[in-house]
Amino acid sequence: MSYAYLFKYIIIGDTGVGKSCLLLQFTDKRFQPVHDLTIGVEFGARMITIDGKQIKLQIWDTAGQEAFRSITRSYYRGAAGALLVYDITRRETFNHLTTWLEDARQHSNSNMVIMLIGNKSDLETRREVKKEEGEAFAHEHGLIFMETSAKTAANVEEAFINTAKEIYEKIQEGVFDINNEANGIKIGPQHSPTNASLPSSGQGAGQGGGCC
Amino acid sequence: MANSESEDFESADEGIVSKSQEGSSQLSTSAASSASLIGHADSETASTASSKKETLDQSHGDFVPLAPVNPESLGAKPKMPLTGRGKSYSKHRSNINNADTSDSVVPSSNDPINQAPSRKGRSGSNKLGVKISPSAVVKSELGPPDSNKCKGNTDSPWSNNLSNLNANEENQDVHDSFQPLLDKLASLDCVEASDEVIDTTTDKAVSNWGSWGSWGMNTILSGASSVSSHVTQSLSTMSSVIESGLGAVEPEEMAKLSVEEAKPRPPKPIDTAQGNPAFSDQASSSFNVMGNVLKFVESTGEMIVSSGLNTLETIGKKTMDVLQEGDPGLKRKRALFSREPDKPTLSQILKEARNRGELEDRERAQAKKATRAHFETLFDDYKGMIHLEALEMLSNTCQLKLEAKLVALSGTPLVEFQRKLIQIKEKCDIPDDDEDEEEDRGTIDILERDLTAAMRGLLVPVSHTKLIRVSEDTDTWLATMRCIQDEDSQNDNDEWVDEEEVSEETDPQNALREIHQQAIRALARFTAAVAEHFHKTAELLLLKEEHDSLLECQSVVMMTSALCSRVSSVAARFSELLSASANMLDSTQVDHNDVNLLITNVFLEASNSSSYIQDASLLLIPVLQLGAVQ
Repeated sequence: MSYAYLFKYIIIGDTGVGKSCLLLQFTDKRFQPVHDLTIGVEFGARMITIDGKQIKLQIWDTAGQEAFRSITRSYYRGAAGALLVYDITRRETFNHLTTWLEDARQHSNSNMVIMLIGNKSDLETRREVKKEEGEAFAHEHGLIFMETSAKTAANVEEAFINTAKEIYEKIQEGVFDINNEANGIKIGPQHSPTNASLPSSGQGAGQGGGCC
Repeated sequence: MANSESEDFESADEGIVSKSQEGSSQLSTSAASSASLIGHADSETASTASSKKETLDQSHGDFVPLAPVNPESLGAKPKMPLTGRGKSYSKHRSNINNADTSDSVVPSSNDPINQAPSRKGRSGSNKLGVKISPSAVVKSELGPPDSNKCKGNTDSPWSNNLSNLNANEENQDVHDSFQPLLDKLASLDCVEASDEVIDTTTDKAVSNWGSWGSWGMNTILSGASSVSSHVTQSLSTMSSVIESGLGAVEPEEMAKLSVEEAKPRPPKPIDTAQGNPAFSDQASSSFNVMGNVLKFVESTGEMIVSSGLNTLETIGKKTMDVLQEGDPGLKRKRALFSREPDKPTLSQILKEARNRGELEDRERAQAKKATRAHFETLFDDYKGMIHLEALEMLSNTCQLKLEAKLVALSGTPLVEFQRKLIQIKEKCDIPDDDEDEEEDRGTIDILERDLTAAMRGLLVPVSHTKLIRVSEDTDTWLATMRCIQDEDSQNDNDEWVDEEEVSEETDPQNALREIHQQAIRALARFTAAVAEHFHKTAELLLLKEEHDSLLECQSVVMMTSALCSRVSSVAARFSELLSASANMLDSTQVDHNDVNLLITNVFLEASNSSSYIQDASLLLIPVLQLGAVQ
């Protein structure tokens, strides 16, 4: 599947806020109430269309556990967008946002688009963090804000797609240098491989040529 | 298509214009030229429904000359008794007046809106001919008392009935049925003859019915019945009348009525003109069938139908007006519909789109076919590339940390540190002396044994089940293919089975390609699983608190060589399968150069796969080094 651009996203936030569920909902359109703890990082990908262009979102779903913090930091580099997730039913996940944000800003490029997500909006009765607080935090730190529910899929699509739109706008404005892959944006393959040749990888493949 | 449509537009457009003409042509048979005046007035009233007041004034203005016309058309008799009435009767007088005019002045039927009632009137007049004049006299006598009554009781059905009777029945009948009433009423008021009063009557009627505009005017002119005054004064009354009225009207009658209504609508004046005599016959005959009681019902039905059609007509005319606004003759709109010669037709566009779509489909199918056997694409699809990328990032981070430590050190610790790093690097060198191991190292059992040992040495909880599962899938596929081949070779002697098989393998080249694709897919999938495995191993190694670095290095080496052996084993088996399949086919059927190319490609991608695996293991070195120096 060819694409015009590839955007690298990272999903960050405390453990158990529903990062992996958000990804699963976005890529597979399903919800898994019990999810294995993420080890290091997991990946997801989906094609979206913005402005008539096919954009591949390559999503790095990081582990939220403190133990993996040093590892996951390595993965921030080269992300074009970040979803910073907290759980509206757990105040402490909201309180940790500042740390996460500092981490993200420190280890990624400054143009990275960050979307703040208050997840589990379906659990209104157990809400501990008001929507206004999330909005205020986002406003203060220049983030986009949205409350989502990975369970009901509310706003999940929007969260991923709005982030992509923001990135796309930045590309149009020339803020992102799309030729620098450290920005987390890759230009899609111009031509999909044809059956005329079977290109071999550069690594270790001494013999050239192909068949068919 | 487009042309005929535009013609339709044109004719419809002309239809409206010609309506007044049509009306006048109808009238020319029975009524004077003033009728056409009224016809104009009607069509105008309907078409400019937005300005009701104006229309009313206008139609009223047109109506004035009507008064003198009536006597002309009917031998000057009926109007005379009407004159000189008091204003108090004006409203209902107008109804009577209507009845009169319906008898005498067909012109009102110009307006197609009120065709049904007016036709009745006309048919009556046609049939009765001279007889009407006495009846008109009767009516004129009847008029004032009737209207009086109506005023008192608001008994519109009564008056309606009366007017209908007046219009259509023999004088004698009217006399008979209403003599007592007439006598009684006649005493109440005198009958005066004055044209002036007719004017005032009309005037008054117009002002009374002013609120419902053209419809009311039409009713006045057609003089269908006086029930209209009440029916229209309140919608609720109307609806109740509709209910009771419609329920009783015979469906045939209704159908006939609506057909009659519809007739004048098509914009061909000739049709309507021709239809007139037959129509009036129909109407009169059906009328005769109706009893006295049904008369009321019928007239109510007519009213309803005519008012409904009135509304439709008004809407239609209004629509045409809006359409024609600023676009006289609908020229621009017609141009919009007509086809421009230089523009491509829809069918052409569709054809081109289909051709383009087919071409794209073909290209896509070709690209897909190519992708199916493209190692890099498949490796990426199985997420091998991204795991490798993540591993590389991790490795780089470790490298940076090591360098940072290195910079901080000096003297003996630095030497010691460097020695450690080099030692690990050396330990991780993968021996490429696989030659001595003749045993089949690529089997799943051996692979599993090696992997388990390696993971035990690394002491990280990374499961290798995925690697095993992928390998098993490949083995199963290969086994199945071999089974099929064996069967094929066995069945070579049994001709009947052979024929069956041949039909399946219509294109031997395709069968070989299928095997090749499967080989590449298996390699890509396995390599991707390996990349993931190495990536997870690296992550968990970084989390480990204590390290036995030497053992770790050994384990990594063991794991790497086991995986590489597996790759070459898989490649070899696929190549065997390919050549075996090719050998089974006739040399005429298959080009052996092609087969060799396929086999070469499998080995090429296998070495490619091994490179990825070895690269991954090299990326582990900084991770191991970092563990060793912590």
